Amino acid sequence: MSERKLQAWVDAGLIDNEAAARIRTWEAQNSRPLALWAIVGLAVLAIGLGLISLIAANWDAIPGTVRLAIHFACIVGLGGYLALNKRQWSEQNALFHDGALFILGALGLTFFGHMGQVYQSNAPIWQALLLWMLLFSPVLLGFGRGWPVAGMWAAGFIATVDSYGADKLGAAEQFAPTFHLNLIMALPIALTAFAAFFRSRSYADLARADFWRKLEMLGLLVTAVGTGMMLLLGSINEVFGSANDPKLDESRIAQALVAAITAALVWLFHKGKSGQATAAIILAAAILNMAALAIGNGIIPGAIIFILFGITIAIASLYAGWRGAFQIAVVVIALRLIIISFQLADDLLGSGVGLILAGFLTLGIAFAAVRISRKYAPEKEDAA
Amino acid sequence: MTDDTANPAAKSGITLKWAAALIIPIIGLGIIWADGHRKAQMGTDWDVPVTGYDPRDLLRGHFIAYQYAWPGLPQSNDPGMGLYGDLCIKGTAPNITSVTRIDQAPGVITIGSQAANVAAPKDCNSIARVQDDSMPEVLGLERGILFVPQTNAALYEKKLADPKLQGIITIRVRDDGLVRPVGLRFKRRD
Repeated sequence: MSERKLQAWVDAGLIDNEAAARIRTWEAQNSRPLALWAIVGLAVLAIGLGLISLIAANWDAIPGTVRLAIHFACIVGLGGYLALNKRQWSEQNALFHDGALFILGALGLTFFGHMGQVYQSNAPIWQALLLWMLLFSPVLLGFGRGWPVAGMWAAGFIATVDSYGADKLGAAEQFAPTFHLNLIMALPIALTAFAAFFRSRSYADLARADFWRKLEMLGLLVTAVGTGMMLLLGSINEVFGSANDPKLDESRIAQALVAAITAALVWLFHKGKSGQATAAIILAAAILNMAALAIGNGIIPGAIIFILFGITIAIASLYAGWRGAFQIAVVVIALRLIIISFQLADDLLGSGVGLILAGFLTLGIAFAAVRISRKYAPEKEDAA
Repeated sequence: MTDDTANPAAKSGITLKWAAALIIPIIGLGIIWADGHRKAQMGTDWDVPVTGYDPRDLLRGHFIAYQYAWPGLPQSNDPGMGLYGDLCIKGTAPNITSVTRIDQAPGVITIGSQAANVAAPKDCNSIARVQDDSMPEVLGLERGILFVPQTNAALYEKKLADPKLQGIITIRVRDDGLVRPVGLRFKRRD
């Protein structure tokens, strides 16, 4: 927050001194210095990975039950300390509060691995993840504030549905129905609607609303990247001669269905430009997945569908004022155009003419991408 | 803007939720652990000769994936296809005299446990059943896994590959048929 701007607004009579003071207080409590967030995020990630390695080493100098007891005592100790110091942790220091919750979540997740190791369980990993989600979601979703907890929960959710779906798909007999499994595996797309719903309900509590905003962004990111990969995979499979894989088709339909419902719910819960842009991108994911299914994944149709998705993201970002997303979309469209130029030049490559043309086209596209990105990118501001 | 401190009722409500959110996972983990610990003690221990190798699981660390050589059961023509039928174990624990399959049609591979439909023969001393959900490395009762300390993993791997040594796994078979390994040792082949 710029103090100079705040003073200018007071001078211009836009806000009074009291309002300025309130803004300063709020900013002081809620400001999140990016570098510090990154350092705390990396630190807790290192601790989490360290815990996994420590437990995976299965050190036999201490009996398993004793190791479990030490592990459990750490969880009780950290949980108890946090419970007794709510004001200090939850309300005053979002940064370290989130780091502590992340470590608590990591201790809980690794406890399942630790138990499986000591008692020689050969249960599949999704069972542990599911129990972890059930036990830790209340504290993570109810009290998380920043990226570490939002990222941990989103990753946990995606890993749970994905490992469950993959496990059951792998075990399914040849002609067993699998559509419900594909629907379950498409659930990460619905994360955006889930977060938008809770964000709309917590508008009175800015810190909570900001947490749900982060989760909503993660959901949109997962949907956009996942759909992009799916569209790309489809058109690349065509090249390798394995298109029209019925399994891919089924997961496409499932993803399109979940995306269409998610888009409608986001539209409903998240009013305003950023909500409309989010809904539009998710709806485009649904429509283009179905289009890819309908018209096939030839080199040209596949590329066109992928580029249409990129253009939708670029236009939606322009509309909502997301500078970074707009620039990434433009770069991705450019890269896809470059790939298609090489794909099409395939049979001319021998003569060398194709390569030269592809080279010039690449230069032209790169040049145009930089120009478009500079000229039309929204002004730099916080993504909403 | 509302001030939390000005409203003690709302404040204590939040604190209660906070405490509840923290207690739920702790109590849940405690119950799951206690139950897991209790169940891990139950069952009959049997010794089964095995062969194996050593992969690694992200959360649980190194494990030995071993292939059972059930006494009395002919070796599968298709190793790696899995053994998806329940087994009748006869003998005096921990020494197995013989193992027979008790699924309906020998040679038919069934996915998941069909145990509910099968009447257990009365003269079995233990019945080992296929677990419905398990890690992909476990192929019914054809293979099992044993988590081992990282420091011992390489040694076990070497011994399992040694033709002069025979690996013996001790499995604990619970009354409900669940099979879990409890230890691995080696003896010289005669």
